[in-house]
Amino acid sequence: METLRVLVTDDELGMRLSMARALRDYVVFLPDVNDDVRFTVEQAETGEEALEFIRRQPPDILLLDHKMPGISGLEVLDHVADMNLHMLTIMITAYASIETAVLATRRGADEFLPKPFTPGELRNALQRTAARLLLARRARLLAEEKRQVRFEFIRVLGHELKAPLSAVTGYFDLIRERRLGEDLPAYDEVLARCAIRVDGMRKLIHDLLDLTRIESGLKHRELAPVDMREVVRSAIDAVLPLAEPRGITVEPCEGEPLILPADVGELEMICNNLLSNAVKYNRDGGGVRATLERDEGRIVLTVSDTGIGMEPESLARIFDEFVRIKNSDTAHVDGTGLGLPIVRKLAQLYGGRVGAESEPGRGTTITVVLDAQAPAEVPAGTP
Amino acid sequence: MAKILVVDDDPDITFAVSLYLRKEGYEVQSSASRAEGMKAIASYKPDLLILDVMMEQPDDGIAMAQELRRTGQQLPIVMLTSVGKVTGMHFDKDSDLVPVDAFFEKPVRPEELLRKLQELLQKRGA
Repeated sequence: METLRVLVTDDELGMRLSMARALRDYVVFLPDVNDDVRFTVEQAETGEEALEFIRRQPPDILLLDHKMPGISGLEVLDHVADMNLHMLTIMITAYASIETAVLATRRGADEFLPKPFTPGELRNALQRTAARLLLARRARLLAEEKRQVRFEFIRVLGHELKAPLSAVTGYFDLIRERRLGEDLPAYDEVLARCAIRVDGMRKLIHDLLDLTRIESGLKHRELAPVDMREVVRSAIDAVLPLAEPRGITVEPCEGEPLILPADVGELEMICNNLLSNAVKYNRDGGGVRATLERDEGRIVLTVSDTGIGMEPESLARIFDEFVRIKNSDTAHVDGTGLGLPIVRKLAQLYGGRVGAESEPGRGTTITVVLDAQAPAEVPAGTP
Repeated sequence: MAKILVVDDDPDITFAVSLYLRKEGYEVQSSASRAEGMKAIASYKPDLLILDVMMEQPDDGIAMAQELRRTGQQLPIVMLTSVGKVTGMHFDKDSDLVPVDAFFEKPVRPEELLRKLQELLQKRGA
């Protein structure tokens, strides 16, 4: 239930009282905002009094008589226009003159009500105005929320970009000050770490651009029949050099070709991300298994590892941007925090979805379901 | 030689700092999180703590410093931060909010950090 404050401004006491009476017990359901709304009524006798009232505590809706002694309704509108309020105004005109209505609308009235009017007509005008007001209010809230999300994204991004810079600059200072002595080989590990952090930063920028392109709908897509099985196999080949030194076994992905119309680059991004995670977050000597099957019109990819796994509260956040689960198991794992958000966004392009299961110390399974029919066009501006 | 604990979730910060501290003859251990850091303080009993301000939570370092002081732990704390530039927050070592002995903006110059450590350890008579 929303309660809206209405200020009735009319020089005739009878008018004010009858309007107050008409709205006193009026409750109306507004389907647009899926909520009930009721009104509380306050009164002003003149334009001056109304302005004073509005300055002190702006109402949600102003019911404003056009003709009053002292300043007129139109003049009140002019003053109100300068105040930058979210208040809506219903202008009451003494006669149903188009000219007055047009003039009032031009000067900022949102609705007008010709005298004489019935309580029903008054309520209808209030109902329409309330719906507009509440819709606008929700739009503002949504815009503010979006602004906050964007701000938070930039804040975290700033941190993620600054961390590798700090690390590399720290190493440079260490080298410049010859902190490890005069022998060059003493610095090999330091230089290798610099290279890793710079690579990580490059990857972050690439991922960020990918994510932005997917979200903006500006990503260039070439749709052609693609064998998903082949893409998974290539992704497996790509992670073997990371897996073998750590004794991690990656099972081959056996089976028939699974053809779907797709952009091959997008499928590669999905598979590479999942397989590289399965290796990175594994334990030494662990295993990785990728399976692919057709389920009616859909293709289901699951990538399981026998890795470090994670707690349910971490699992709930892994598809969010820049979430990297930090603990002593993951401290030495490099990542951008954008891999899984990219996978999720890509899956959505194929009418698909992603899911995850995990158990700490036992491993994680990520499931991606893709629609094997022709994928939808990239929806522009989807969040 | 004095024992130093470095707590930072960025492995390269702990690695780099450990490298040059060891080279200077300090004994060094590192932890990647607040929880691990608290355990290490109990078991390793460092003479000085180097602490990152932001770990899993944006204020883990501060919370950890407060917790230590609340429990009467007096060891000198040097706080590393990139917070000022990221969030626009400004801390100051004198503030009650952040009970630490020195602040360093990342990237930390080894020379400056070493000088500060020496000073703090001397003051403590370690």
